[in-house]
Amino acid sequence: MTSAIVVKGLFKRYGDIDVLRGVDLDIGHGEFYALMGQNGSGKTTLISIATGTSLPTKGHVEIHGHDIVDEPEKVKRIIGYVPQENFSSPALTGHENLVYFARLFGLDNSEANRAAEQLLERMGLAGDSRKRVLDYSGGMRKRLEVATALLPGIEVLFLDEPTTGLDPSARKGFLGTLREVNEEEATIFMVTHIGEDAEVASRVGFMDGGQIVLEGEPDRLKERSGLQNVIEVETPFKGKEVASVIGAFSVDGSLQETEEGYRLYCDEPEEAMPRLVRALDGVGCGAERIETRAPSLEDVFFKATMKPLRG
Amino acid sequence: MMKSNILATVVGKSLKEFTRERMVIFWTYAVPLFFLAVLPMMYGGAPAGVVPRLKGGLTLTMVTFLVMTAGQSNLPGSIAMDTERGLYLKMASMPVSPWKESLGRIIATWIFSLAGSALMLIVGLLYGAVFTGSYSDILVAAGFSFLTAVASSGVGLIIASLVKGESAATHTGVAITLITYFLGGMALPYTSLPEALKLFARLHPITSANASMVFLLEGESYIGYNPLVAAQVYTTVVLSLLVLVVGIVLYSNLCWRR
Repeated sequence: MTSAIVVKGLFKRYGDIDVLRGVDLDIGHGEFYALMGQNGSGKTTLISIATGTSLPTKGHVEIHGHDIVDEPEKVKRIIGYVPQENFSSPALTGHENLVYFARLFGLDNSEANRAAEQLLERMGLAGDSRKRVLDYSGGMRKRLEVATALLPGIEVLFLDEPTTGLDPSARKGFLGTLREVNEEEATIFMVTHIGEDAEVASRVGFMDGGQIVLEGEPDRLKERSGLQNVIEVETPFKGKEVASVIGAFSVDGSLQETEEGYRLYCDEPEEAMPRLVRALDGVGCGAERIETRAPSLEDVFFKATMKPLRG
Repeated sequence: MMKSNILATVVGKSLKEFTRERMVIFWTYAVPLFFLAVLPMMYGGAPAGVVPRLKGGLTLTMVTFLVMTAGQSNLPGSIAMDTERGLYLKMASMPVSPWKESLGRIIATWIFSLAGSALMLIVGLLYGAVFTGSYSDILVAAGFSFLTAVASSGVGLIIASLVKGESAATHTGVAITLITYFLGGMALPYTSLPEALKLFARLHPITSANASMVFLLEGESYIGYNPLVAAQVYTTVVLSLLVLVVGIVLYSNLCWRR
């Protein structure tokens, strides 16, 4: 597989802070790569350098063999970037927005109109193309914005936290659309801090402290993590004593505090759960809910970095 | 793939945004129209023969007020809104020249101002305003009006580059417009200003250009001094262009993140 995106020894420093500390990546043509990391881990900085909106301190990014710093014009003709923010104009219709971006991209008026109509159809927005974006739902607006990154000639898509603000149903539909786009040969590079979003990718990378600390196919990452099962415990209150009781049941001693209680990793949950309930009763903190599930990418991320993804 | 016209594309988009936003229309067009309707009520003591020319002077000043509002408030407001919603990140990843894009925004602001100015002149004439200049005076006055648009856009771009947030940028523009209007000899007679403000009125490219317009079309008695001396005209032209160039340079470097 030939490379679509190559990142070599990338560093970025803001003042005294090293946001990127030697990132190396090689993403093949047609791959769907999801980069996961906490807020502030350097994901957005990496995508902003790769799309030419920010300059690296050191290192290189090549898209289809063209260096983003030395040949920005060539790169900008083959990439489509969807920033985290909703950048479409609410005062314009969906059609007008797409024509605007198509013309900025270099298409003439008739090409831009044709491309806009095709993309609106493809994104399921044809019926709403004459409505102002002001009247679009969050999911419709995000699909419209992804359409701006699918103009003719674009081969590599960069998406920054594309599902932020979408409800679960809109998110599911949106991720399905991304899969379809990827199946049509487009290379996708997506950054996210939501594990479920990364599940649709063909390869996932974990970013922590400005470096890629682990990468691989989602299922392989889960297998290699050695995690068997996850237990989620909802407790009426939290505290050192409660954490110590629950932590004793964790296979590797690690315990993650969640909004409702705690999360731990366990090899034999059926055997551990009744004992855990009794132990919690013993310290006067009866579990309000306890359940087991298969490990997710967020769990694998925690295992690799000892940091919660949505911390 | 044919080359698209980025200028025309940005002009079209900016004009649609300006004309579809009711508050923009209200603050840019309705406020000066309101002043134009109300302020002549204070001319009760003036001789009847003078009132039409007072209305003419007021109409020209309200044209300048409108042009200032469009350039100094609407333009930075729309840029700040686009910054907030990440449009510049998107555009910086596309093959778009910041210079051409800024020119598109500026031209759209000028067209929006021109439409408002035409409306203001029509209303002024219907309301009894009289202009006395020759055809060449009208042409030169139009040139000075263009200079007010040039300088206003420059100030607007500077505001957009330095003030973050749509509301802050818009309000900064409104404040600068009102300060210029009240302290620069547009609201109060030039002769009644203290010396420091007289100097401000002569040096400020917008108030100076406005004074030149009124001088050309209504005469010196309506403006209080002769602004058409070579040094002042030269200063007005140079400062108007300088403010615009500084605005474009700041905008291209600060609003387009790199």
